[in-house]
Amino acid sequence: MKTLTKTLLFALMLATPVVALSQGVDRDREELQMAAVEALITAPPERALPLATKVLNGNYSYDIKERALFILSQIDRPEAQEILIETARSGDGELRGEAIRMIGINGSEEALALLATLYDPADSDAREAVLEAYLIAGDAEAVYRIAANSTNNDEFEDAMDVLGAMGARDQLRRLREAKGVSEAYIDALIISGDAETLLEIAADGSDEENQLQAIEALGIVGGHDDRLIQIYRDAGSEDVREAALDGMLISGYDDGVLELYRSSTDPAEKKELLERLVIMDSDEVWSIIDSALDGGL
Amino acid sequence: MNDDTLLLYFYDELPDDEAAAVRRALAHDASIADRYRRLREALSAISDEATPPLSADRLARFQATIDRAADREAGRRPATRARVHFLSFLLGTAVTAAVAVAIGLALRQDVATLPAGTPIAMTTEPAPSTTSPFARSLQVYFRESQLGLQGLPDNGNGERTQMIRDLIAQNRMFAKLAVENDAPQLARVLRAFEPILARLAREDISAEESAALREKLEFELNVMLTKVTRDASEFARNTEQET
Repeated sequence: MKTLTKTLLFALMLATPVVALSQGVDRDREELQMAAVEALITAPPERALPLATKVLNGNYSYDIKERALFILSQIDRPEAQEILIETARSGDGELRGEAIRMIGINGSEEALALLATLYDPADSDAREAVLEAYLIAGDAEAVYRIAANSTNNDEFEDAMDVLGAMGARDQLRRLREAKGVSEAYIDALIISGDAETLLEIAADGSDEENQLQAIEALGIVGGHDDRLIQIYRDAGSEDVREAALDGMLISGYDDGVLELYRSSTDPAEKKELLERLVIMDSDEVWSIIDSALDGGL
Repeated sequence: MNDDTLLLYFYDELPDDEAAAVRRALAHDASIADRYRRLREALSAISDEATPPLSADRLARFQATIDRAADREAGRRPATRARVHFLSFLLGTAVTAAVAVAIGLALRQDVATLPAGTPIAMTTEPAPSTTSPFARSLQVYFRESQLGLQGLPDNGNGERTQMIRDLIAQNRMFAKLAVENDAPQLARVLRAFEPILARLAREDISAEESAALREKLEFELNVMLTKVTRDASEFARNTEQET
């Protein structure tokens, strides 16, 4: 369909008044409106902009307005940015959140800077919408600032989730200095795949809870099976040894557990390692069981 | 014969005569056949091995970590927007990230600037040309993602979750490729799809919410498909006129 035809079709639909119609007719009408909004992407910006704005300000469903916002986000005109900013500032409820998302998608520097003023730690919807916009825009520094200045756990954990998803290792490492290590912090390291920092925490016995979690996390991140063996051998407590075994179990490193089994001379330890090998469904487990039944250690 | 041509051949995007030429080359040239084999393996890994095989025990432990994160949420005030749990999708995307790096070079292109006065002024970002493997792969991706969404089972089950993980993995790969191809705005749009997909994957999602999210994403994918196709065509037309 030619651009002009689509634009005319759209204008015609906008001119039709909204009246009480049957549910089926309403649905047909909405689908047609949706198609018309979608067609705006093919229109020249000078035509698309006023029509999308009209939808946003008119008596249309939330879904239609949400689509119009997406079209606006794809129009690189200052007027489109202004509408997004205005809706993000003063739009109602969900539409406001959607406008914030659109700023993440295609917001200018000015629009992105506005996000900091829209962030409200006490409003979980606004908080998550702004964090999501930063994730979309790839602005890890902005998320870092939120995490570093957070005043409650929810706020901090949300920011950690996003930094992890962004793979923002530099920011996460700086946060270790600023906010210390916590469960949410370690989860973010897992998501970002930062094994190096996890290894540092795993070697730090100053907070055993964090240490144990980091050791297990090494199993999730993977690639450091040899270190888990070493941690097991050097363990100063039963809990650390247990965590290292858990890490090996998580990573499926049955060769490592087998190595520990074979090198151990302690029947109690061998029993525990054998149990792990059974859980891990190791290929070697049946020959080991056979040997154990024969009285071999 | 370069990797771009082989890539298009893999995606069935070559005209018949060019595809026939590739087939002949593959039959007679061992080095091309070897390059194609490696490329095919990398591309197949995206769909076939998006999630590494895990034992039930390892999955259980991993789930425990996710549950721990979810437990932290338990005491919170419910938000209007459904939260996204990124930890849940770690495994589904890990392999694909590596594959993306592997094929990223094959899809990299030299980006030319959009000529002034282009009729479609919906973007300030240089458009990938219609002949660029990246643009064509992107179009295929947008189309196939729409089909993938349409084929999602209605109720939450393992198959549905896996399908969404695959979609996320593909999406993340193309977001990386967009960055590689100097298309940061496109990368932002692609990144915006991931939280929607993550919400779609929630097991407690209602049928109504699932339908709404799917329709929203299909709309955005379709808009982007139209935009990328139009921009690329305009770019090609303007380049042709200049020469």
